[in-house]
Amino acid sequence: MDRRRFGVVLLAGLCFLAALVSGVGRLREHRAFDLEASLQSGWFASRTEAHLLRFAAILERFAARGEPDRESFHEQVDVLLLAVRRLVREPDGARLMADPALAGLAYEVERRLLELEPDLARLEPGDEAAHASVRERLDEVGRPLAELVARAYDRFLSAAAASGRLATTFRRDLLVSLGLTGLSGVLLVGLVVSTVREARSARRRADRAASVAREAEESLRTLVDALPVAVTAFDERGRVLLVNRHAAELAGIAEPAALGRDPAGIGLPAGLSPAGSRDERGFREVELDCPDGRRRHLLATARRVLREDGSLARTVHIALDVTDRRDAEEQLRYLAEHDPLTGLANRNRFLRALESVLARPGARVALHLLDLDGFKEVNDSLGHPAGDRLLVAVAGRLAGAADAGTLIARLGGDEFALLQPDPPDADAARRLARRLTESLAQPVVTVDGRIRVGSSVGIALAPEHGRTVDELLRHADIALYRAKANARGSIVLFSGELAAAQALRHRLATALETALQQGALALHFQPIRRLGDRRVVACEALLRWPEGRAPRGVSTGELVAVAEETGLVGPLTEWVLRTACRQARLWQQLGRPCPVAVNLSMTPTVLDRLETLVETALDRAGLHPGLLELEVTEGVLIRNFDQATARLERLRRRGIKIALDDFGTGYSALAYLQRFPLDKLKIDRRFTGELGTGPTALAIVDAIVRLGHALGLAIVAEGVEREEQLRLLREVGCDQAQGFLLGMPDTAERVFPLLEAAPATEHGRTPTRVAAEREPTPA
Amino acid sequence: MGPLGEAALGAISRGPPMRFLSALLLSLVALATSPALSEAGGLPPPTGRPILEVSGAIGRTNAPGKAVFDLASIEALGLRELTTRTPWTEGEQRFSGIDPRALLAAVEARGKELEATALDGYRVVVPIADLERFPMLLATRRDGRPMPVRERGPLWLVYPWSTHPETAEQPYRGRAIWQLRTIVVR
Repeated sequence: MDRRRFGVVLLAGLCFLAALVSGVGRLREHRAFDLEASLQSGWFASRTEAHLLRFAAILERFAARGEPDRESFHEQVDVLLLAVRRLVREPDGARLMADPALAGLAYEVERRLLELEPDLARLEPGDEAAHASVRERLDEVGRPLAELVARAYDRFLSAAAASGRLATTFRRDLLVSLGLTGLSGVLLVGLVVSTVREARSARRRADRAASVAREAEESLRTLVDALPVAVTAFDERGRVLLVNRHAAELAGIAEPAALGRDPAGIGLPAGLSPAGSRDERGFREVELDCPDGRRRHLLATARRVLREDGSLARTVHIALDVTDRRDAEEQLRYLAEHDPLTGLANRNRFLRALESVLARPGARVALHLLDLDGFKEVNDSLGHPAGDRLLVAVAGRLAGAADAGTLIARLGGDEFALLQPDPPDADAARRLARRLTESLAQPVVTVDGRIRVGSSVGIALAPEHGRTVDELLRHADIALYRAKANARGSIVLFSGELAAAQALRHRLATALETALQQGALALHFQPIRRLGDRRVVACEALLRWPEGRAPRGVSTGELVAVAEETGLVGPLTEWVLRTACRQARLWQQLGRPCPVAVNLSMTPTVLDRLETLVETALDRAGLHPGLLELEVTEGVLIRNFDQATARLERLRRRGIKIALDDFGTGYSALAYLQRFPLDKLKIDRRFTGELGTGPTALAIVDAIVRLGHALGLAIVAEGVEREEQLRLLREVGCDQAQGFLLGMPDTAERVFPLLEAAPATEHGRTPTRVAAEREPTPA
Repeated sequence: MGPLGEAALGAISRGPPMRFLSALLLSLVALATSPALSEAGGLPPPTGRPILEVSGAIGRTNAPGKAVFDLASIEALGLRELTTRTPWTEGEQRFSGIDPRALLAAVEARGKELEATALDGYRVVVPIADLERFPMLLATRRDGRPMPVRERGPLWLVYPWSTHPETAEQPYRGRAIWQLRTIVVR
């Protein structure tokens, strides 16, 4: 080969080499740019994701505690919006958006965020429902973003691999061209040197790229560690890739020791470790027994990160520790469902339970309503703390007496309810009720001493007595009402008759109210005569339905009972007192003064207003107090001794006479008689009726008379119907009597002729002690 | 400063013996034109929503250890304009704002660099030398309107990218912090 040809060949070789080198150089330059741009795209996308995670943490704080304040929160919404807009709309994201698949994801992120923005703007701290919805939708923003990040980094990795392949090809081509042209060693060396230099520079660039990636990784890592949630990540085979600080603390492990290992082997609990290979929508609740012995509640979710080919690359688990919030919720729920005093279920929970039992097809259940007898007296005499202690003790007794499956609730006051599931028959329900009342029959011993309470139970069965909560409760209540009206410790099962009786009472109450409003009621008067000369010394006022308006078969006693139940007793008492006083005043003005005796129904409503009622009636009529007598029954002494005594004593000092009605039928506690302000004792008609039939009744009446006289009381016998009774009464020294024999109850006009004209000397007298009217006891 | 002042300065800054007098006069003029002169004791507290906190090596404060500004109190330091392209957006943008040096003067900053933090947690150190080298703007408005957070507001440290293209590259590029919230002078 001559110098010229060599020169040409050399020149051609040089040209070839130059062309090759320049071509490859341009390619490499392009590749290197490509590599860095890919990496920047990935880093840029992951920064956007970091913005989103950071915002998610801020959202939690804002929604839960209102921190930061609203304006700062809205600023942070803007910060997130800008971050996403930079990705989608600005030059920094252009490289990424040039890839249609990545652009699709980015647009999806932007679209979902913009849709969410109005709700973020409206979000109020503490609005749990709105918060949950926003959190879920923010998750949906994060989903395409996470995939975008993963794919952007995958692009970088494949670009890096392609760059490595190119260098290999280049060297092979160089050798081929060398073999073909036989270029000089100088050129070869020069080329080799230049290649080595290029390679070194490529390595430097890769190092720099790695360092940028490391920094990005570290920022992300710092962020993930700072998050108040537990984050764990696993590779496709389930080995640990990441355990953030919070997760490590929860699980009580150290991250370095866990990396690359099987989660079960290092004791990573469920919720922080792979539960399945699918994405979870929303959060599930997981319980976790921590190494510190506490049981914690996590809201956990898992997210899969896929490779480009759709295979699983890694799984990320996120768990939020909601133990404290859950504890608070449970405490709230407990408070909402339980009676704080006894720890039994409260009314709410009981009604809900009853409702859900009744909702089951073919449900059989017995509803027991239990009421303590005499609880009010315990409260009044020993104080509310003692009453509370008693209720706690009662709750314990009931729990001991009931079966395990029976729900026991305190509905309020001293009212308890039990839900007995599936009683085989009515007797089974009665047996439970019997156990309950028997458990309370024994005195309850508390720090306040031995307290004796009884209980009454009303039972209604489903489905026989009702299929709804309302029906059952109403019917059990009717049964309880009847039980309380019976003797203490009664158990009453609801029945149709009970309902009918209840309905009748309701009709009566309506009729009574109407009559009262229309002024249709009337008072009749029955003379009370002195036994010696049969002079009328007083008249008892008796309530009567007006002619033709009385519901059939209704006694005055029932009428009064209805009035007491319905709250009509106040207006009724007021009307009776006013009418009776007016009548007595009229008689006095007509020259035949006669004291009028009024029966008082001493319910608490009346007792509280007693003095006002009496004074008003006297004032309106202009009646002297000495012409009014009040008849009360023993019940008031038993129920409300102190209050009743004080009030009656004040009235008695005004000159009003007090008579104890129906003596002998109730408790007849003699101790009361001594302490109670009384003028008269009225012997119940039952004893009068039996006079003359045997020695017993006479002995009782005799005893009552002697006792009464010993206490300075006048004795009145009720229900005298035969002359023999009158004779016997006179013999034992009874002072006065009333009954059909001595005068039927009748209108004021017809009674008037029976009254004695006041002697001129006695006109306007001031009657004082009833004892003054008493005849001398026959010797 | 009126034409008379410029003439006077021109006259006295000619010779070395005049340097002291010139400096004295300059500082007097600076004092006279400083809007904070009336509150010689400290900065007035902001009345609007605070958007910027300056702390660190500063001589004047209006809150414990820091100076807090609202939009009005920043713009009171002397509003000016800068029209430039930006590396992140298309086309020219007309910014209004203040010379960042006016802010440093108002708080009597003594330091070499500013550690600036944004609402999104981004943090960067800006040498005070940058403020001397380039005609920069602490922008509060674009096209005359306050910038919302989602458009990089309320404060953006704007470099003159059009007239000084090198500021569009690192290390300057990263110093153009937007959504600026706090500055620590060091």
